[in-house]
Amino acid sequence: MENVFRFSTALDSSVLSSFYDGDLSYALMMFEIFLVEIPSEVKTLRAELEQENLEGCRRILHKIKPNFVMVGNEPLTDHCTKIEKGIKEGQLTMQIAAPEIESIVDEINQTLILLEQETNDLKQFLNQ
Amino acid sequence: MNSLRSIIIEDDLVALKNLEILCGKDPRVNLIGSFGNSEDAVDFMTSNDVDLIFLDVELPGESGLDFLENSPALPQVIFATANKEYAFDAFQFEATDFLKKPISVGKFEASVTKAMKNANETRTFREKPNYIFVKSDGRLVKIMISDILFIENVGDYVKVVANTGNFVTYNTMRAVDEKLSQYDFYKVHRSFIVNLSKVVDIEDNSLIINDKVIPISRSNRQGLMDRLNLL
Repeated sequence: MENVFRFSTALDSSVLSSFYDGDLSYALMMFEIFLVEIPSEVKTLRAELEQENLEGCRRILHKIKPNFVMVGNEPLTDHCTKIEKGIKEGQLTMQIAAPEIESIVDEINQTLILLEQETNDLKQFLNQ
Repeated sequence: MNSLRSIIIEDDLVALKNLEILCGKDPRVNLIGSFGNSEDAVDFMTSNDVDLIFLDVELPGESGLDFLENSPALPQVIFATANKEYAFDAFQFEATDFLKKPISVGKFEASVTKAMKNANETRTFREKPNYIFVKSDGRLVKIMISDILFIENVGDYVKVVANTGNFVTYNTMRAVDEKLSQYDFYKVHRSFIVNLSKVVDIEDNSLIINDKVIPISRSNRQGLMDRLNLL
């Protein structure tokens, strides 16, 4: 049997393969830091949303958006970019932006669940 | 193989980790510091030589663009940001390159190749720079070594007296002495380090630079004599 690690199909495996170019240790390090750091950013994003601070939400979206490519969820990066841009250009009111941001938070939480499994699988593979 | 002494200014810990890993993979990059804001980086650069900065734009406090605006003479800068709209700013500030996050190995290596090429062409390596940076009034000021007349201790600060002006900076004489000892400087007194090439006259216990009489301590006099180009 071929001993090759394949990224989960739930995440975009082609993006992951292309980004890490086969360096699984590098991928594991990035997954682990993502799992540690992103939940606190989500917490801050939620707090900004509750305080109806659109600029605060925009700042967090800007900060975290590129990281989703590194865990195989490029559409989430695009979604964050769209909302960030809309807020920056004054096209989105809090009323319109809030459900979009809520949906981003849900997507992030889904990604974290998938990534946790992916990280465990990767660890097991690398420890073989 | 020569390497570029590099720092990262990035507030996102995931992006920072990625850059740190990429720097670690590339032998041409010697990562000597990572900072979450530009103010800490400025402090670091007052006492460390840096060849290359990986700079995020949206930062807490002073933005990356303000940092560039306030520090007119900096080493090479590679923008590392999530928004491609900053590419124009990178061009305006004559940045070495613009990297859009997330940064992959290939894009990183290509940027470092550009920085290495520039470093080779402009000799911005660590051989022995002919300038120092001094943090004065919240700005990094570039002073040519050849313009410095002497350095005077003023309490918790040191005053760099140069042909181009006087610059007061928070530092110790010891640190300045260490930094300038590789050049033609000598500590003649606990409160004075002088540029030997600027000395115009020496008496028993003093010397003159630009009409300023500077004391020579008894314990440093012989050392000074040894450093002078005596006939």
